[in-house]
Parts: sequence; C-alpha cells; structure tokens
Amino acid sequence: MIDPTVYIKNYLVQETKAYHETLIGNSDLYNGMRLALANFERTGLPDRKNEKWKYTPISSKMIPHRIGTAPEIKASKEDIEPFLLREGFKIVFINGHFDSEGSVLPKNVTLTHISTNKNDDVRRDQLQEVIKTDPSDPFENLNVAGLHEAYVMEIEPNQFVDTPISILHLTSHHAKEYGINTRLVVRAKRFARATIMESFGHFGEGEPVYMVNSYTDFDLEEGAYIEHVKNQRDSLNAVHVGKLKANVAKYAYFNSFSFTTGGKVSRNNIEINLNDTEATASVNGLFSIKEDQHCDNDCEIHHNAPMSHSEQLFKGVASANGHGVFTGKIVMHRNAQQCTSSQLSRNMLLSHDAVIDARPQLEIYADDVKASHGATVGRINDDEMFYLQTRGIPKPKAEKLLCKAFAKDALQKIKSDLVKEKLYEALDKRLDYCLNCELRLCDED
Amino acid sequence: MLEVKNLHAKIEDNEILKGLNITVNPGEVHAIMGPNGSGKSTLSKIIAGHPSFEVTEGTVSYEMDGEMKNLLELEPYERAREGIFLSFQYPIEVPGVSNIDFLRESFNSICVHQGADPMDEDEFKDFLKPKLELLEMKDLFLKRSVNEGFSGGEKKKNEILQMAVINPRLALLDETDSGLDIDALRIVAKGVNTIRNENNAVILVTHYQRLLDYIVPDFIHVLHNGQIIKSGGKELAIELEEKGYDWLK
Repeated sequence: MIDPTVYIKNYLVQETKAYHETLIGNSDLYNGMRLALANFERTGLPDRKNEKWKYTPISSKMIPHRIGTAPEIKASKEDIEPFLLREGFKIVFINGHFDSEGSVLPKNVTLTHISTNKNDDVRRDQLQEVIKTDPSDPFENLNVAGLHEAYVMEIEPNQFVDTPISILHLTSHHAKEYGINTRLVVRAKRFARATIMESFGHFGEGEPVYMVNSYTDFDLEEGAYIEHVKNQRDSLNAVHVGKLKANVAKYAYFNSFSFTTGGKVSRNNIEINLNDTEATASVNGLFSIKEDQHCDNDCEIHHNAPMSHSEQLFKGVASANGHGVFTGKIVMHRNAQQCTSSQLSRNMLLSHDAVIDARPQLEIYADDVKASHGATVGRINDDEMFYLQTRGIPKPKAEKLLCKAFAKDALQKIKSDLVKEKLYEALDKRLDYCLNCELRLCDED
Repeated sequence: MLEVKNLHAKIEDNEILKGLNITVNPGEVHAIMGPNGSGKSTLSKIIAGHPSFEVTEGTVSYEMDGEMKNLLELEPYERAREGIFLSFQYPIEVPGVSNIDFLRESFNSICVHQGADPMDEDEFKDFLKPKLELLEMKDLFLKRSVNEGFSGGEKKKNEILQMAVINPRLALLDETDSGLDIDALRIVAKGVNTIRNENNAVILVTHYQRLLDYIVPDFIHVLHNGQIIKSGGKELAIELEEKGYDWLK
C-alpha cells in the first residue's frame, strides 16, 4: 500500500499544477505561487516521525481535496448570522470568494484585495508580503500555492478602530471536497489599535467534507495593539490547518485567542516573535470537542529581545472520544535577559474515552529571566461536586455549572466584550450538548 | 427529627464510626466534641451524603413529610432539598461561579422543590440584603467567585450566609469556629443564633469550648473511637476544657 503521506502529497501537487495551468500570465503573484509549490514538493507533508506532528498524523486525516476556485454562491442573512457580532465591520468570504454585498468594510484601515482574477494595481511590497512563506513549512507553502483571494489590511499610525472587524470564512455543501485557502496579512503601524475576529464556519446541508488552510500574519509596529480572535466552528467533517504568525515590536501588545469547537481535525500552528524591549504577547485558547473530534494547538513564542513578556493560558474540554493536544514552546534566546513568561495548559476530560496530550516546553538560553509553565488534566473535581450538591443542586446541573465555569474562565482573556459575548453563546451551546451526551440525554446540537 | 442508631461507617478499609447513636429534636442544639480522629466530621459528612463513606451497619432516619424516613437512600442534593445543610470545615473554592449566581441557584432549586416560586435576580438581591447585613458582609462578596481568594473568616461567614439563605431544618456546622478570629466568631455565632428557632436544629462539631460561649448547646456529646462515650448538658464543655478528654477514655 502506498504511504498516505506520499499519496496525498502527489495528489495535491498534481491538483495545484493543474490549477496553475488555468492562471495565464507571468505576474509576481503567479510566480510566488509556483515557488511555494516547488517548496511544498520538496518538503512534502509531515509524518509521525516529525516531533511537532507526533499526535496529529495529518496526512492520514487529510482528504484528497480539490485545489482551485470552489463554486461561488450567495449566503442568506440567516446563514451568516450565527457568526456575526452584534455590531462591527465585516468582511465576508463564501466558499473562498469575497462577498461584497454581505460585507461592511472597516473605516480607518486600508484594505487591499488581492485575487488571482485581478492583481494589476497591487503594491509590490504588499504582494511580496502575501506570497512570503517559510520554505520549510508545508502548509504555508500549500496555502500560497493554491491561493485564490488574499487580503492585506493596513491600520494607519495612531488609528484606533473602535469596533471589532469580523472576517468570516464560510463554506457550504456546494464546496464539498474543496480546499479553501485563506490568507490575511495585517500591518498595524505605530500606535495603531484594532480587534480582529476571524471566524470559520459552514452553512447549508449537513456537515460537509472540506479542507481549510488558513494563513494569517500580523506585523505590529512600535506601540501597536492588536487583539486577534480565531473562532473556528467548521464542519464536523472538515480538516482545518491554520497558521498564525505575529511579529511584535517595541511596546506593542498582541493579544490572541484561538477558540475551537469545529473540524474533524483541527490544528493551529501559532508562532509569535517578540522582537524588541517591552514587546508583549498574551496567547490564549480554548477548545471544546465532542464525538471523535481532534484538536491540536501547537504554539511557539520566541523572546528575541530583552525585557519582552509573554503569557499563555490554553484550556480544553474533551468529551466522548475527543482527542485534544497542546504543545507550547517558549524560547528565551541568548540576549533575552529580564524577560518574563508564564504558560498554563489546563484540561478537563468529560468521558473515559477522551484523551488529552499536553506538552509544555521551555527553552532558555538567557540567565536572568522569569519563566513558569504547567499542565493539568483532570475530571470534574469530586469535592466541588459534593459541595454544590449539599446546596441542593442536582448532579447533572452541578456538573454543568462546574464545567462551564472552568471553560468560560479562559474567555476572560478576551478584551472585547462583543467578541466574548459571541463566544460565550457558542461555548454554552456546545457544552450543554457535550454534558447532555455524557449523561445520555443528547438528541440535538 | 433525626435519629441515628448503631451507625457503623468506613472510608476505604478504615472503620471510623463504630456504633454511634444520637437523637435530635426540633429546637435543639447539639455539640459534638472529641479528640482528633474520633469521627466528628465523618458523622456530619455521612448525614449530608458524602460519597466517600460507606455505611456498613445501622440506620439514619430523618423526618420528611411528617414521617421518619431512611435518609441514606437520598442523594446529597435531595437531602439538601429536605432541609439538611452542611457548613464545611474547609469550604470549597469554585472558581468561575459568582457567589450570587451560586446562592440563587441553590436557593431556587430548594424553593422549587418545596413548592415555592423561584426568585428573579432583583427579588433575590432584596431578599439577600438583610442577611448580608446580619453577617456584616459587603455586596462586593456577591460578585466574587465562590470562596475563591476568601480569607478563612470570609469563607466561614459565606457558609453561614448560605445557611441563612437556605434556612435549613437541620444544620450541621463542621468546625465552623476553626480559623476564625474573635470578631468573626462573634459574627458567625450571631448569624447562627438568629437563624435558629423552635422548628430547626443545629449540630455543632467543634474542638473548643470557645464557640459554645456564643452558641449555647442544649446537649454536648463526646465522641471517641467512633462512639459517643459521654453526653451531658452545657456544663460538660467546661469540664472538658479543664480536664481534656483523657479522663473519659
């Protein structure tokens, strides 16, 4: 039998080449895409021997998906509504196509839309940003090689964008078996400020099979503040691999939250670089998984400069046969003196068959730093359960109360109330479902 | 209202109670004293329904709907709804659940069981106000997570606040005096004394006579090696304070 790692790789290379044939011309964008494909051909997909992918054998989970433009359809208001905030700007993509009617573009930011259909009037430096990849990262290269639409968002110096900007990537059953690649580059200039929520979800019939490969990177200049929330609620048959990168400059603050309830297999690759003094990142996340969902958060924070700071809280709730993974690596490089960092991974198992793997890692090459890390995996605490019961609260209710309190605590890391409110809603619904299932009461989601 | 007969109980393979008898009537306050490890806390935990203990022999009957019924059949939350309250020696911290939500959840679940209407948030706040005043607690307590980051005294006051809200028929106060300074002890005792009446009963588990100066018991029982070895009136406490427990063994 042919190795799935090789089989899927060959399939994707063929598909991407065929897609490239349809792109006539020799622009910088196409050249970048071809270069990315060449990189991918060289690296191939990671296998189990790759330490970073030890718990997520991605190639055996991936479906051979189509590369190119998925069917363009319209979404109704009801389709979009579950992902919208009460107020704020919205940029909507349906099956990978920009939906100009559904979008309300933010003010005070410069948006550049780059598409394989039109790229004549794009600034060269912006285009270079979009096609830039780490040559050794298979999914970044696969993303760029199969690009359809990309956005560059620039927030001008000292601009405060008060209401959150939602970017919605919705997939319908029409795009079954397609790969949806999303690409976003955000440049927050000196002392700019914004909250950006990227939501991934689906609508239409059932839980379609598709693949999302998202690649988002942030560049924070001096004193900039960015809150980024990834709200991943893809179909239960989807595979989602996402990359989040941030370069953080002096006095800049990057607050990130990865919320995952969707996907059959989800993998978040997070890479943060703190490049100057007082650069700070708060990198947090929460997943709640059911059935046989698999969610893997892999995070690296590099302290590249003295007096840079990071903190991290990742929580997970796994029910049924769910498998959650957390790998958090904090690297304090040689000159990174007087840095501080704290990392905590806390996980709750709701069933006997659920699995959590947590790997906190510290690499310290400087001698004057403060760093702490820890990981816990447990069930609902018996003493807490008894305490609630002695106050007249029945066991199922007590379980819900405690489990929700555990999970919701992580959402406190989000600063934007509008975003928090939306995620509370989704989390509440999901945990009700999971807990009812564990109590054999589940019937609907 | 409570009748414990020949109660034997163990945790894992340790037999802790070895034939304990006690009867409690409405309006009475019983103090249970005794050396460490004698089984004082075990008794209150068994009455409240702690799942770690196994009753191997004997009965615990409790008056429900005018009849004495087997209490051991009920789940802990059912016992609470029937009016049994346990104030914990070490109150549990419940991060993420605010005190007011917890109190209201508890109060409403008991209310509904007893056939009363649940209260909405505003009604409940008004209902709480005098109880907070009684225990000299600030409103701020209500917003904090249950017992999280509370001092020893605050935790115990919070237990008695819950008792005041639930208004139980039988309150088991497990070493409520431990970790309290003299002012907090006075406030906690004032709370308990205000709640007690001819229809409810209190079982106090304590090491020291000090608490009994504030909450005066009708009966004192000395527990040793899983059995009550001496019972008496409130004067017994003074004798115990002077002589210790050794003369009884």
